[in-house]
Amino acid sequence: MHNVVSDFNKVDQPAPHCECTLDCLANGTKGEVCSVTGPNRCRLAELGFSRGCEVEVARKSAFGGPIEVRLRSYRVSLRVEEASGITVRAVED
Amino acid sequence: MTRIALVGNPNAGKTTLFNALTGLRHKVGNYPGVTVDIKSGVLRGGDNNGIEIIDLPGVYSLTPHSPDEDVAIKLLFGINEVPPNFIVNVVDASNLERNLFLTTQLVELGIPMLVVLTMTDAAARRGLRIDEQRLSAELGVPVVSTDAPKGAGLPTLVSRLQDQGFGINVSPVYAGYSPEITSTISEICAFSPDISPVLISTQLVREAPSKWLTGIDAELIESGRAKLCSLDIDPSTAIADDRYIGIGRISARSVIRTTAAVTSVSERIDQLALHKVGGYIVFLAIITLVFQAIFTWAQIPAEWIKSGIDFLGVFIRSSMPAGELRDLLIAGVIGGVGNTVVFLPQILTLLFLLGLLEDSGYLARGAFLLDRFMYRVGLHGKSFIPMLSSFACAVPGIMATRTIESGRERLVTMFVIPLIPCTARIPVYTMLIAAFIPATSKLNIGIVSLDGRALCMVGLFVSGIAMSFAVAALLSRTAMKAAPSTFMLELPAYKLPRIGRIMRESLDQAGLFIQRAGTMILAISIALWFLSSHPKIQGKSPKEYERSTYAGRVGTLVEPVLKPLGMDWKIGIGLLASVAAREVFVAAMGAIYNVDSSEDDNHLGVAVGARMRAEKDPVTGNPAYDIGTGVALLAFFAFAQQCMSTFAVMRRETNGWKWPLLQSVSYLLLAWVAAFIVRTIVMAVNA
Repeated sequence: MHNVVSDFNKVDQPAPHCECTLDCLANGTKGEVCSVTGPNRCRLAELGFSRGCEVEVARKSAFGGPIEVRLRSYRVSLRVEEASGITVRAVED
Repeated sequence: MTRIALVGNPNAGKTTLFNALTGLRHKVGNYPGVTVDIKSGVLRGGDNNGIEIIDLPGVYSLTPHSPDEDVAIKLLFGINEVPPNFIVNVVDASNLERNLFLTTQLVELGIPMLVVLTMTDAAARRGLRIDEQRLSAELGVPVVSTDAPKGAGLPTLVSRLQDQGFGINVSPVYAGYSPEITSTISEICAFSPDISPVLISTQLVREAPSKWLTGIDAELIESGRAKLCSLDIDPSTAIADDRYIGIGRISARSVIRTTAAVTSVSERIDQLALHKVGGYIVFLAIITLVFQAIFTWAQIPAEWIKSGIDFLGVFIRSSMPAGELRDLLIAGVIGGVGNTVVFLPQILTLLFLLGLLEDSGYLARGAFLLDRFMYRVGLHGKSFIPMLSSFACAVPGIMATRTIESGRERLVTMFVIPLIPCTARIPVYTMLIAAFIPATSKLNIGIVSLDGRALCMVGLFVSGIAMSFAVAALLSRTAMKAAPSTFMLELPAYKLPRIGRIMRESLDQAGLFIQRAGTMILAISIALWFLSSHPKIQGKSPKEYERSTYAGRVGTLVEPVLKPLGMDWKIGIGLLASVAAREVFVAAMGAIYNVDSSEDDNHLGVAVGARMRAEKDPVTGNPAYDIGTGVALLAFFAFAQQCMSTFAVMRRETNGWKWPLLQSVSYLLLAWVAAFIVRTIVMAVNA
């Protein structure tokens, strides 16, 4: 069967305008979702991390713990591992 | 009978609405995914209207990712179940877009449905108002606003439900998919007409179809997925991307922004509660307070109960003639059941405080703060909640693991939970410490002098917790090695805990605990009392024939294994009896020694301990047990899995015998080895 994960890892290099992944955004900065990869991308997409959606890093916790993200008028906490699978284009306020 | 299913995202206010509609008292959790079993009730008002309301576990979509989502989704698709006649979709108005993701899938099921908007007040505080009529027109189904806790909008909703004022959206498949996705779905439909487009779209997104989808349907979906992948489309994200474009349009048309959003109270509390430094200080303060309450404040009422039971014991002793019945009453009934009742204040306090923390919304913050540490040992931030409730009892703890989506992390959590020091161990610890650790023992570190007994209790707690993390770390690096799972935690808004409801729930749970322990202890004490005094041998005192009693024979059988731990056949019997439940041990030892006979000590826990301390070796005449026996027993109880209820709930939750058996056997070995090591060390130090 077609292995989707590895395929997606192969095309992992971000498009030129996608500068970083979500975990690299500083506290309080916003970005626009370009792509979602990783084993949990399906759940992330359902939760609203869809292409073009505006997301904001609301809180980064100590010890490299979860990152709280604000999107679609709600907040959700993700691990760094998940956040690093979400590529974003930084958005100026 | 008409069945109406309540469906919605976790924490959307489903259970609150369910309670308002059925008038039943049910648990409403302020933590995502608290509703785990399907609850049902009859719509209130209207006489015998024959309308059944079922409250399904919260789901974010019709694609299952966890066991409780699987339950809800199978029911909605009518897999091995009769699908509901109607759907009430509970939508959190303050979080409209994400909630609508599920709504847009539900309308494609073809089941008549109705949308109920909740939390409109929270939306208003964020400066959002929803145009119900507009939303209804966009979705093609009726929309009703309610405020279930205050009762607003409920009469309208109830009359709607009674008149079956639901609507059907005519569109069987979402129109906004890209051409490739649309054609893949219609191709599968053409091959297998019994699977609906929405079932296809919600299964195409999974790496592999759900297990309940079998045969040709599963194959069709797998090949459909492969086809999309070969076109460089990842169905796992593309299908949701397309849907959210439609949702964005619906939301733009039906949401009216009234004022600018203000920082909510919850966000302001979180600025401290989730602070990089302050958050951990608050967390430690709260946990310290909980344990302070259990071990200091709850001791005061516990002392009252203890005096009451002691009084009862003395009363029976003085008012009844000596004999078998008196022995039975004192050793079995008062010793066994009384010893459990003494712990009622502690159990109640713990349950109540956990209820407060959960209902206020703080537990989810705990999961947020602790996730990194949990993750290091292969657990999940959400493991923190079941593990915390396991300090009361492992059974609700294991059940609470259902909210953990990842099967592996859930299994690791369930596996280590029996190591967490539960309340059933407290009576045993208290008795053994009082019996074997001298009251005068002190540990001097510089100018600090620590009480040996208190230190021993703390040590037992710490080693239980530490062992649970060590085992988790070991398992997730060896037998249960896998990619780290998803961590998606929603922090619910803080709210004032409902004291009355929490009190009722803690009383219910504590009642069940006491009832279970009481009946089991009573039965086992009576059985042991009989087994250790029969068969009667004419003309001999019990001392002379004790090894030939039924209990004596069994005890002698296990004695060789226990000898290296400094234990004899009598302790063997106690340990065998405590396989049922740990707290049985005290009563069992009491029954074996027929504790009544000599001493006039006033507390039975102490009495059993004193009796153990006084036990003489029949051959040498020296004390049968030493401090080494005591610490070995303590270590054994810290790690052994002696609880039938835990075994039963593990079997049910893992759906098989493998894990509960593996757990019991490995913890038995662990307990034996730990007991042996601790005894060896203590004997060497004491020599």
